[in-house]
Amino acid sequence: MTSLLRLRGLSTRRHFASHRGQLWLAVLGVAIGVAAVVAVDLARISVRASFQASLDAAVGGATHRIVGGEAGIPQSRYVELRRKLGWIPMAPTVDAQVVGPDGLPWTLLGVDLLREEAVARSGGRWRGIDGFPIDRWFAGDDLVLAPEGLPLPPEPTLTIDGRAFPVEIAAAYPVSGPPARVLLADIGTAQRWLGREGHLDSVLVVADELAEDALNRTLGGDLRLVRENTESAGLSRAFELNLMALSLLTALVGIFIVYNTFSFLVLQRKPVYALEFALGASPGARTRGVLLEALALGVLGTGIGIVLGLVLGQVTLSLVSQTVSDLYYDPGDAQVILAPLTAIKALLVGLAGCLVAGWAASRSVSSASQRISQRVGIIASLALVAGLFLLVVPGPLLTGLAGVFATSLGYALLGGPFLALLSEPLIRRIPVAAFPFVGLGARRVPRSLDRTLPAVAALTLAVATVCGVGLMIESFRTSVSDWLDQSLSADYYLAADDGVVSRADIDRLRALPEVEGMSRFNLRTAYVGDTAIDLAVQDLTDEGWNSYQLLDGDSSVWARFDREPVGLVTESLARLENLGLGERIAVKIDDRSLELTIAGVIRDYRTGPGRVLMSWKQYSALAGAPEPTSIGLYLAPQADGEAVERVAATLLAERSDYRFASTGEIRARSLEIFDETFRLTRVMQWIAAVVALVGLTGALLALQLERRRELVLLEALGLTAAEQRRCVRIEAFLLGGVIAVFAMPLGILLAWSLTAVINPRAFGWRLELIWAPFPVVLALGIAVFGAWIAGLAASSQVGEAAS
Amino acid sequence: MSESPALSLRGVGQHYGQGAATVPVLDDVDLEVERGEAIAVLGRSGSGKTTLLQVASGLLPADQGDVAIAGTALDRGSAAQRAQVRRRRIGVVFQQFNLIPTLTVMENLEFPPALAGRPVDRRELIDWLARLGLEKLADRFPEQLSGGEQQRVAVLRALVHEPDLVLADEPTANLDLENAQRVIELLHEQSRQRGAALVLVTHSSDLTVPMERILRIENRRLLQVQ
Repeated sequence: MTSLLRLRGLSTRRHFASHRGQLWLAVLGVAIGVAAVVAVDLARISVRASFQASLDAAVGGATHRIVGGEAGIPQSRYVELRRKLGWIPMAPTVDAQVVGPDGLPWTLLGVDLLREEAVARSGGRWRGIDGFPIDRWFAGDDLVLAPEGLPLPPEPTLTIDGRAFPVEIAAAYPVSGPPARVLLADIGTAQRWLGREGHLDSVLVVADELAEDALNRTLGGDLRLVRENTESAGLSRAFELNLMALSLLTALVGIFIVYNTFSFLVLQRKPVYALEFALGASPGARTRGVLLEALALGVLGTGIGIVLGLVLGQVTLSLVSQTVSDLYYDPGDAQVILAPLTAIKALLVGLAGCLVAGWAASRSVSSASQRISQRVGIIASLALVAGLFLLVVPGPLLTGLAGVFATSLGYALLGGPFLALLSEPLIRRIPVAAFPFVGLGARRVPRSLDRTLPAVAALTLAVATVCGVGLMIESFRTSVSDWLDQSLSADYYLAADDGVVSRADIDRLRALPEVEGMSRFNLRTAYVGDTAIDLAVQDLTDEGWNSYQLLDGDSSVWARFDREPVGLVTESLARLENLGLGERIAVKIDDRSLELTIAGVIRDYRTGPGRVLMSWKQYSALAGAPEPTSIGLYLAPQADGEAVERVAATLLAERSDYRFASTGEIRARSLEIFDETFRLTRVMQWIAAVVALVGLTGALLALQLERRRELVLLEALGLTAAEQRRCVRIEAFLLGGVIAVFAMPLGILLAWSLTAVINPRAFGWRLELIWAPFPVVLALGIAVFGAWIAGLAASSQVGEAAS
Repeated sequence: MSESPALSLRGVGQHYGQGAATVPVLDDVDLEVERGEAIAVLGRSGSGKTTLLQVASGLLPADQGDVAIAGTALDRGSAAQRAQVRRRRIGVVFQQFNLIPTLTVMENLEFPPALAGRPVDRRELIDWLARLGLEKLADRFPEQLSGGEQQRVAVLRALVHEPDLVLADEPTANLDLENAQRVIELLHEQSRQRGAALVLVTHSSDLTVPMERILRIENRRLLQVQ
């Protein structure tokens, strides 16, 4: 037995020694499959880690913030909260805009360092600062912590409300990324400087659902619990979902490439295996031998693939980081992290992929190719049917994703035999007598489709993804753009981050002759059942009514809006709570419960569980007049907004928590965020496409090796090497074209799945699939042009093979 | 029509390898074959018969000497020029793998004239096939034919573009006696009918068809046997 293994090993070694190109092609195939998976995963994990660190740095571990009315939060209420709900981590803060010694505005943040540590992981950094004067800090000396990297004199003077305060820099606190102009002071000291003794601006909280519920029941009066950074959290979820889905897809493409490479390697030696069988070697012995080879190749390929993946990971990370820094934060020193899960995935794709491919290929030696095709066809058909079933039948997100993958896998695997069958009659119409080179190149296509099934499947998947995800993004963008156009009916918006827009400020703006109308808006956390939702209370102008798109219900709702206790729910909330028109819901807020009849379902593309919209007038009647957290300003026709902007600038100087923006700015920024979010997806799509094209190149190269005898015959018939290369390029070009056309229905199916199944299940809203030519043309272009490039690379082999 | 011999080899020498590992295969080989003439070249395995055909067809450029096909010097042209001569003036039949697997029988027959830029008369091709009883195979692919059928189609394919020279390298080695006889007869008859010179290389002296000349390769030289 040992002797047989030794002889087989010798035979294999000599085979590869005389076919070095083939060996390296196989190793490269495995390595590229592994590298793609590693690189995409590395970028995903590294950016995710960096993203999480950034969220921590921005809001610490705080999930919520308690804010009060115009006067802030009485400190006694905070003490009471601590006494009642001491188990919930909380930290009081005050903040204000001050003028620094450099004459520039600085934010003065008063914090309780000991308490802040419990909610903001970044807060504990002061403990690591050398020479931090802890005693003087807590004794109430006039000390501040300044950020590293922003030079200030050791004893600067701060100007607060026109009064000068000489202070001392106790130490510099470390920062990651570009330093912000924020000075930290002890909360008691800051309160003294600001003249706000006994009052807080906000309380940072780390709250789970239980704590959130307890806080909402305990908070009363004008205290509100608001979620911290929900926009980032929502984006983070979308970001994660995108990268995860594409990472899985790349793994699938990688597995196809590994299988493709290995099956070629084994099938080329079919005559040798047949001879061994004739000499008495059992099929089991052959399988063992093939598995040993697969293991050796797998180890070599996976090792190279991981190293290649680490290098490629740096490239993808820099691409992704660029996007992230434009959008979320500066990832700065985001490092490539080889997580254990990534290593496991790499081993799974490389080693397990080779072993499975080796096993399957070894089995195929003794099976008729027709039977294998039949089996693949049956498995692919089953996967396709199961996938469609999972997509059509309502269920959770996970089954939706499983449906997308099963459908894609099944469809892509059917590609080779189906296309071969379909393309053959068409291709046979090309007269060889009139076009010998085109004819010869074209005639190879059906056979190549059948022989390179995994590579065809990989390219089909990649092309369909470019088309499907592209269509989804275009549909999404158009929907969001339309929604923004419709939602942003006012000309300007003023919002208060930490409180309410004051009556005096509203009056100042309303007094401007340019302002023709105003809508008020109050947003707060409420509950429908156990679900925390946003309750949006709004007094709408006639124009404002048009800013909501009704998905369910008719325009009569607006006549009832102010007259009856009705509510409009967002699509996501309706889906989550299974709510329909005419149903009654109890919206719990503070210690009240508002009974509302659902009069309509509105479109909304915000992330989160959703919101209920109700009239200002009705809310006032049921629960007392709310204070506006934001207002919309409608200008008179032809009015110049400059006067409004001037007043707004004055208000912003007085209230640091105010945000003021024109509709155009909000719209542009929203679309910018949208585009930046999906730039990551586009990078990943390109990676999958490039990997698939490398796979196709490998498959075409292997085909040329397999065709060695045919190439010699063609040379004998008088074809020059250049003409033979032309035939290969024609074959590759047509192969790409056929795959591109075949991939389109899958691309459209993917787009439909993402817009009509995955988005509703992940975020609660449904998108209308909009036909956009660009993704389709791009996908076709990638397949055809990419295949032509692959043909160029493969044709370089022809001269050698033919000679 | 050319006055020159279909094939002319003068002082042809060929070797494999380099330096100390050089192995001479052919040495000072002279040969002229006229159009319509059929010759057989015999020799043991490894004697250099296939190399002789490769040099004669321009697949291998001769290390020494001159090679000409119907008066066109083959040894001085580039690989592309030699290919041009091959596609117009030479037909080949190998021991096996003679037909392009992705083309049907009819397309395999259409391919050489298309390459040579000659018009293709499908009716004539069908007549040819019919005379050999192969007309029902016109739309089949090579893998759907028997070995004998493949070789007979290959013979037609070698002659379809009216070459000056047909080179056959052990075309019957994989066939049974009956099929081998049919193929050799076909090759001989068709070459003669079309006025092409035939060079048949074989390791067997058991030839069933009379040839104008029989030569043998011995010690790297070409010797006349009959």
